Amino acid sequence: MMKKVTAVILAVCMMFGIVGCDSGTGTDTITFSVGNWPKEHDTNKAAMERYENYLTAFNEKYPGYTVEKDYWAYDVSSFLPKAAGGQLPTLYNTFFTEISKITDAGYAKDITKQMEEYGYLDNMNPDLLELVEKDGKYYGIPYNAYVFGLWFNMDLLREAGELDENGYPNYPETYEELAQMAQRIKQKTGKAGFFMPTTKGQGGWQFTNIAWAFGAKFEENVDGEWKAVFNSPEAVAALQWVKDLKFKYDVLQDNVLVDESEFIKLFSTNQVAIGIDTTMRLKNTVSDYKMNKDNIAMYKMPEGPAGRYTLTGGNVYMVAANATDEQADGVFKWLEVSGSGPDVTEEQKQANIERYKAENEQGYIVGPSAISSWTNPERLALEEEAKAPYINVDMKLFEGYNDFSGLIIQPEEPVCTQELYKTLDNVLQVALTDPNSDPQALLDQAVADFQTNYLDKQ
Amino acid sequence: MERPRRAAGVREQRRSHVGRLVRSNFSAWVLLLPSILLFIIVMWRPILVGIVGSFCQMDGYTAVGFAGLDNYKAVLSDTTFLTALKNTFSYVFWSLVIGYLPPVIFAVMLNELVHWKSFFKFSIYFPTMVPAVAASLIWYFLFQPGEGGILNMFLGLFGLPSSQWLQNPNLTIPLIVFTMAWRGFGSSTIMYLASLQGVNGELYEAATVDGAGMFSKIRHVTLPQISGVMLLLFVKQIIGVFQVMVEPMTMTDGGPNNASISLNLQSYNYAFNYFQVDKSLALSVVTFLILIVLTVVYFKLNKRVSEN
Repeated sequence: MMKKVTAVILAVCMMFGIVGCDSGTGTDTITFSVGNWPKEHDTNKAAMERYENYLTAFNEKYPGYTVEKDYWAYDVSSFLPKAAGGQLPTLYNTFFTEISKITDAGYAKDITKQMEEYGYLDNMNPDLLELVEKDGKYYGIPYNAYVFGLWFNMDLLREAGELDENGYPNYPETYEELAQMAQRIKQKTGKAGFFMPTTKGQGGWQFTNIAWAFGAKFEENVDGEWKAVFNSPEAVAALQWVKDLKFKYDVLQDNVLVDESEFIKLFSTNQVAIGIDTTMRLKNTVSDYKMNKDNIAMYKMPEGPAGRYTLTGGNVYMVAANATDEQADGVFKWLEVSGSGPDVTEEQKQANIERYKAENEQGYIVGPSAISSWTNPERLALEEEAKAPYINVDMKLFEGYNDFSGLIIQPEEPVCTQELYKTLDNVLQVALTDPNSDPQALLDQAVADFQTNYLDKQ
Repeated sequence: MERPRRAAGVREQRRSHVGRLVRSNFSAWVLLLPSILLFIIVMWRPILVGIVGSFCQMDGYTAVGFAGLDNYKAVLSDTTFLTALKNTFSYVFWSLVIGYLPPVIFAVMLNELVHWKSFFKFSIYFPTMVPAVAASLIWYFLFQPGEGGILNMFLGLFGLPSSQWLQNPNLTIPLIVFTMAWRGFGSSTIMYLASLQGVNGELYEAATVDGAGMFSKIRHVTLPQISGVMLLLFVKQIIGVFQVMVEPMTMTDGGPNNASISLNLQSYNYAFNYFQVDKSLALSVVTFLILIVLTVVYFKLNKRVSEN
């Protein structure tokens, strides 16, 4: 009998030993968590200090709340398990490209009430608000927006003699000029003149922008049904232009089965002269590869036969679907203290000053920006005033990018966007690896596949 | 009436037999209980939940309705499915060609070594310690196309033209399999070596007395003695390679034009790139069923061969 009792005790001990116990402690305050909190071992010490300052200010102003730090940052492969397990931070941020996936899956809270109450709906750019609206409800705060532009590596342009007498690039205005410029750079420096990704959906993402400029359309709603239409002569011309970069102008990087992160690497290490990207990734050139920040210039997207199109993208704050209204209120109060609120207050200004100061001290690029999230002129001025003393690059190198004249700003395609990008990735991979490939046949096949696999199943 | 009564009797007999078994080894069963529970929770529950989920319509990981066979129809009618299926079999085929026999040969050679045995054992096992993603990246750099690629520079030394390596759809799968074989080679060799060291030396002596040469000894003594381990590793390799995902994901993202996409990578794409967990589960179940069929067929064939 004694033996049996001992066995039972041992088994119970093993269970507890393996499973472990966590006895939570209750408090009277409302607790919420803030995601993407800078990590202590992060090289970005300044950002960590800035968040700590926000926290001190928040605790002083709102003692009824407890903020938990959550170091998780949005990542495609970990998002779904975290969301399904109810483990998302109360406040998390993601990209414009992910909004529809997340709202469709029900992992973002409807924050219409708070958006209205805290003045976001009245003060935010309506075009951006449209991105987070579904069936009349709002599911996010688009706090940072940008458009696609061209990045130029100044060292390679200098070496290739592509700078004017004042030391600024002779920017290409059309796609044809862009290809020719890239070719001259390749011939004079031996380095790739242009970068084209074709994996992780990023090839398709960039190709949509190029094809719009050639007059292509991708999806059309006909009598309530979505049709894939990107095998038009315009889309074929766009694909032919990309194919020519490889087989006519010979200006692309050697390996085409790569994504944007490879571009950042090659660009930062003077292996590629020009590529398509946004202001959001500029800091990676400095933080990841120690690139000289004065070695970068940006310009607006080139003009194609149908116009000068540019794709808009950006970052959005979302609130976890399982958050209570009280927690959502806490989140909006946190945004106010951390400088992301719509109000024009001294506190808001101070938070923005701290942000730009920290970025400047880290050696990151401070200056270029794209679309402001705000329409209120005073709120806009607050941000510009906070930034002005910390601008650390020659803004003339970004003048053309910040000039929106003649630009047609276009959001992403509306339906099955990620699937479309993946389909186009495949098209680009063939076009850039097989010199005998036929752009028309490739797009015909892609349209048929995309229609059958995705649009018909909508 | 006779038959139900007999069935009830059999059931009762079985129950009392189980009861006796538990009572006679009560302590052992209680100590095993945590492991059994964990096995059910960690291994079987996810499989069952996955199978059930594949028949549901899901929002994220939450089932919102019964979908019947819709997910299966969607997955099987996807034009990528057949490509992924064909590629997955191609991965298995190339893994057997490239990676199955070399560890046996090296294990036999290692077993015969007198000096430097530990050094060679370590050298062979070393690649196994490299994480899958790191190994993929090492090979990714070696396989860089263009004249600046490391392997292409070697080809250049001999006046050979540069290769497109992973960008060549005909080479993609064999090259990915080669990197996998490089990494898995060490652990298989060590397993074979352990098995070889268990072979009774008297058998070789007897074979020598009978006039057997080296190859006869390998054929009539070594191979029959390690055939159990070879069978185990054969099945393990098929099952393992059939689930290939990390390598194509990091090296080619399934490209060019799906030339290296596998069933599991397509399943990953459904779940994480498109947030279609239901379809991802359906495809996983299809993969699971194919593996079960392959394993059963293999064991049946092997049994017949052994009997003959």
